[in-house]
Parts: sequence; C-alpha cells; structure tokens
Amino acid sequence: MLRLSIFAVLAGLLMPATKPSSLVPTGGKLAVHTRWEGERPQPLPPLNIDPKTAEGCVAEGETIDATNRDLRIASGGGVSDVVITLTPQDPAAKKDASAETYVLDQKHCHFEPHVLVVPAGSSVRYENGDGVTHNVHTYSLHNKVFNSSVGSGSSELRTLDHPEIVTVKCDIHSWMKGFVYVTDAPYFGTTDADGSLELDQLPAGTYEAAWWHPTLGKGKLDPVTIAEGETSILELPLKARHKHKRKHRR
Amino acid sequence: MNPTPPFLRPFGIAGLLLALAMAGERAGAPTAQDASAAAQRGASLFTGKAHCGACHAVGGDEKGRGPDLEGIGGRAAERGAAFGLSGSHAGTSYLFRSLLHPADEVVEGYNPMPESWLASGLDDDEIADLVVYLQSLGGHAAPGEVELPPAWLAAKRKDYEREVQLTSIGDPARGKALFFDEKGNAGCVRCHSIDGEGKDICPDLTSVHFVQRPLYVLESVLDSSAFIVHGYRQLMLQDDSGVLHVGLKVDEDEDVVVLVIDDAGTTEEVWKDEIVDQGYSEVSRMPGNFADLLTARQVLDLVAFVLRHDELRAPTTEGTEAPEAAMEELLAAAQTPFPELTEDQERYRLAMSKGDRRNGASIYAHYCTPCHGTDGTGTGFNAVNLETKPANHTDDRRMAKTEDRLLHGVITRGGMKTGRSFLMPPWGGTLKEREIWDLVAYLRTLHARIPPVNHPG
Repeated sequence: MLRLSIFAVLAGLLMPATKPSSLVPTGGKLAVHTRWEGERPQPLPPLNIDPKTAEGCVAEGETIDATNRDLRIASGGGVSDVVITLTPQDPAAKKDASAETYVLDQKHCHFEPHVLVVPAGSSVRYENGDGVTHNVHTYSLHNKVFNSSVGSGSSELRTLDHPEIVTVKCDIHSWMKGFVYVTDAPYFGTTDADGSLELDQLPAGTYEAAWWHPTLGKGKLDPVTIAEGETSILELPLKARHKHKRKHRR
Repeated sequence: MNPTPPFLRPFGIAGLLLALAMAGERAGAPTAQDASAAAQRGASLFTGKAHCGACHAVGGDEKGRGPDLEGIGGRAAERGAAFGLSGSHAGTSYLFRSLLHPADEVVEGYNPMPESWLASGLDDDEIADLVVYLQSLGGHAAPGEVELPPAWLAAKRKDYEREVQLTSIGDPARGKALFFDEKGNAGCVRCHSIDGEGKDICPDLTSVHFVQRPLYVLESVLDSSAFIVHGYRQLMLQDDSGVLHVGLKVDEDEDVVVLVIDDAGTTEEVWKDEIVDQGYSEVSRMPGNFADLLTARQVLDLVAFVLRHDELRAPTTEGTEAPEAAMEELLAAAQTPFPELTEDQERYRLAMSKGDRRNGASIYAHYCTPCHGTDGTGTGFNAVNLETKPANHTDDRRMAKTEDRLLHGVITRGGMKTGRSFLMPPWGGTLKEREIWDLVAYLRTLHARIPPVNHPG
C-alpha cells in the first residue's frame, strides 16, 4: 500500500513581517517528492539501437543514449516522469482546460519530454529539433491518430480531444517512444529528473489527487489541501508493480 | 467499362468464366502429356515471371502474405461453392476468378490480392498454364476445362496500359535521386530498399512493379493508410494503468501476448489479465503526409522510379537524365485529353490534388460563387458589376495550363499580386492553407482535362 503524508509548511511564519500583501489571491503551492521505496531495482534493459539507423542522431564521436526511459530513478531516490493530476473537489472551482499549445520535441532521437501531460482539447506541436528526419506516429484508441514525416526543424500540430494515454513512436528510429497523457484534470505536472514537481498558483481548496507512471502503474491519493500563500508537500513513495506468476508453463 | 456480355452481367466475371468453362467442355480433350506439360510450364511461371511465389507458398512452414496454396486444386470446387459457383467445372472457375479478378473474394485474414497477372504481363497461354498448375496442386490438371475470355482479358490489358501511360510521365532518374536522398522530403531509403540498397524496415520495392498496378503505387505514396500490407498492422493493447503497448503480435499463450516493439526485434510480454482494451492501428507505418511534402511532379518521378527502376539498371540509360525538352514533350502529352479515360482521369486528378474536394465545394459555394457562379463559369450574380470578368473555371484550355500551385497562389495572394485582375481578392487571411488546397481540389473537378504537373523548385 502507498503511504501518503502531506505537510502544510506554514511558510508565512518564516517570512518577514513586512511582506507586501496582495489583494489578488495567488494561490498556494504543492511540492511533490517521489521516493523509491525499498531496494533499488535493476535498471530496465537498454534500448536496442542499431548504430547504422542512429547515424546523424548525435554529433560525430558521441554515443546515443540508450537508457530505457520507462523507469528512471535519480541517485537521491526520486522517480522521473511521474504524472500528478489535481481536480478540485468543489465543482464550482473547476477551471476550463487551458487553450495553449504544448510541445513534444525530438532531440538526439528521443522524444522530449518522455511523458507530456496536456489537458483534453489542447493542441500538441510535435517538433523535430534533430538534424535527421523523423516521423511522428501516434497510437490511440479514442483520439484521432496520424503518421507524418517531420523533417529537421519542421513540426506537425494536432489536437487531442479525449482523456487517454497516447503512445507516440517514430518508425524510422523504432526505439523512440513517448507518451502524451491527455487529462480532464485542470492542474497537473510531471516529476523532473530528481523526481520532484512543484505546482504553483493553485487556488486554495481541497483536491482529488492521482498519479501515473509508464511502468509503475497508477493510483489515487488522499485529497490534497492547498492554503493561500502556503506550500503543501506531497510525499509519494513508489515501488515496482506486483510480480506476475505464470499460471501456465510455456 | 464492363466487357462482360450483357446477359452475363448479373453474374459478373464468374458467370462469364463459368459459361466459357462450360463451352470448353465441348472441345476435344487434351492428352495427359499436354496436361503435365502445361502444369510444368505453369509451375515455372508461378515462381518466375508471374511472381506468385513472392506472396504464396506451396507447403512449408513459412506464413506468406497470401494463403498457402498447397492442395488448392483439391479445395477449389468447395471454395467455389462457397461463392455460388456450381457445376462440374466450379473448381476451375474459382481458380480463374481468384487469379483474374482477385478483389471479388478475399480469404479471411489476408489482404486482397493485386492484379498481378497484368503487372507481370502474362499472355493468354501463360494464364491458362498457371491455372492448370493450380489444378494440379491436390487435384487434376485438366487443360480441357480451361477456356479464356480473350475479349475481357484484352480490355483489361488496354485499361492497364493506359494506367501505365498515366503514371509513367515522371522521370525515373529524378525519382531515384529523391528516393535515395536521406535528408530530403521523400527519402524512401530511410525505410525501404530497392535493388539491394536501403533499409529493410519496410517492404522491399524491388519487385513491386511485377505485382502491383501503377495506380496502387501512386496511391500508396499519396494515401499510405488506404492499404496496410498484411503483417504490418500494429496491435495496440491497453493495460489497466492506461498504457498502450504497441507492436506486431508474434506469439500468445494463456498468460501473455508477445509483441515485437522495434525493428531490432525486441519483444515485450503484455499480461493478459492486465489488458483492458485493444485495437489495431488503422494508420500505416508509412507517413501519410507525402502529398503535402512533395510536389505532384516529385510524386510522379518517385512512382516512375519504383515502376521503372529496371530501366535505370540497364547500362544504356544509367546516369542519363531525360533532356528537358523531352520532359516537356512528355508533360504536354500527359495534358492532352484521353477521351475514353474519364474514370482513370478522374482518379488520377483526385489523387494528384492535395485537398478534399467535397470541403472545397462548400467553401466555393460560400466565398466564390457570388462572382464565379454556382456552375463555375464566371457568371455569378456579382459578375455584372465587375470591369474584368471573373475567371471561367470550366474553361478546359485555360485551366489545363494552370498549375495547382498557381491556383493556390492566386487564391492566397489575390489577383493583383499574381498578375491577374485586382478584383480577385486575396483569401490567405480568411481561409486556412488546408481550405485553399481543398478549393484547388474542387476546381479540378470543374474542368475535364488533366491538370499540368507542378515543376520542382
């Protein structure tokens, strides 16, 4: 079972008394810290990259990164690419999905970021920051899918309407895989390389919280309370999914 | 075009073949030596000129793109009965139909077979030999049952020749350069191979011109997902955390489904008790935006290379490029009308244009008809007020001389900036790029001649 502890750090108490007061509420913050629980697992097997296919992906003399990005644990124990979503318990506090455009780039023949979270109905611009041609091929059961050749410096703009986790691949460099997490939740983010995430400008209130990770699964969290001008802390311990046992011999 | 005699039309080609097969019964029975010689000739055609072996195996373990034909001669009558064929020659009729009109019936789990007998250039005798060989697989070689419909075959060949003509105006040498330019917009070599050069991620194209019709090749470039080759469809398995696992299914047992997830052959096991939803991807691994990335001329050059790369291998033409004058002549020839070709012409024209003509029609109705008229003749209700009369979009000569790109330019930037009447407003600010291409596609349906091909650059 996941243990979850939330500390409200009363930042205000540590502030100088002369702190300028604002009439417009700027909300509170949520700091998320993921932590691998127990013994560190073996890293996932590296990606199977054919050097000939990878020509042009990185500068000459450099080697392409073959780390399998589906599970990355920082030296401090934090887990990258964990999606956190927050939905206000009060339906009146629900805000509309942001209309901005989100970018999924391709750098050194990997999708950047590995996991992109976007609100349903928003647009994703699939860019190509590499010198080689990629193709962007989306896989989905509920959203419109496409496969487009995207040359160096070009991009492809598409809309994702339905909450779902879309898999994105490149058929030329078939080890390339990324995820676009399409959500209905108005507040969201992914943990960084250290396994941390800070969400700010959250209106004060109580939120339903959930997490997801490409290989560790998903789960609901205890409701999170945000207070104006304060930072709440969410500790998220993570561990490997349960081990399967074969019922049948192969 | 339907060369089947009127009385047989309700039965299509099957009825025709059946009738002809029955007629054949009256002919003198060929000897056993005739039968065995014909079957032998058919066998060498199967693996050779007819290229059947590219997709079909006869026995063995390997699963091909087409069904294994071991014992087909014995099964043919039964299969024929399933398609409503009866009589003593139902098996032979079935074999004929499968070979000559393969789209009529498709074995479950396989793609429709192409009309390879056309692409590989089989003559009437060779078709007959091939059928006798198929009869002999698990059945009896019976050349007496084999009677060809020569008029139908000739009409199909004529049709095919026109298709070749339509798709051969490109320059194979230019197409080759586009094919092998890894950094270019086409860069087919990033995935395909041809004549032993390139990558083996996607189907090898060396023999495609012996198997597929030219319009299929053209269509594959312009609309790659119209037809995904069997064995290249990607399975999507959604697990209970929401992850879509994607790959080619290669194995399955009671516990897991095994997917190959990359071109290095890496496998991934997806636990069945975690799968909550699944589906096949309807999008090909071949990108679908080449109609946007390439000019019509480049598409034709590529198609010409894929269909005629054999010519470039011959030492006499290697490295030479058709002189510009010859090219112009070819393009001019392509623009002269083919009066009997309306259906192909239409298909060609629509394939060549980048837009959606139906959407173009509604945009045209809204924005263009006040001046250009509902019938496109330039006689809309507002035309009377205009000093320079609006263009007549049904004018064959004029429209045939106007490239897609020029039409696009005039609509986008208006008449004044493109040397036309200043009364034609620029629509680039009002309409989206895609909508303007939709308009171009619609304009191409208003006149009869084939439009000119865009020049590269």
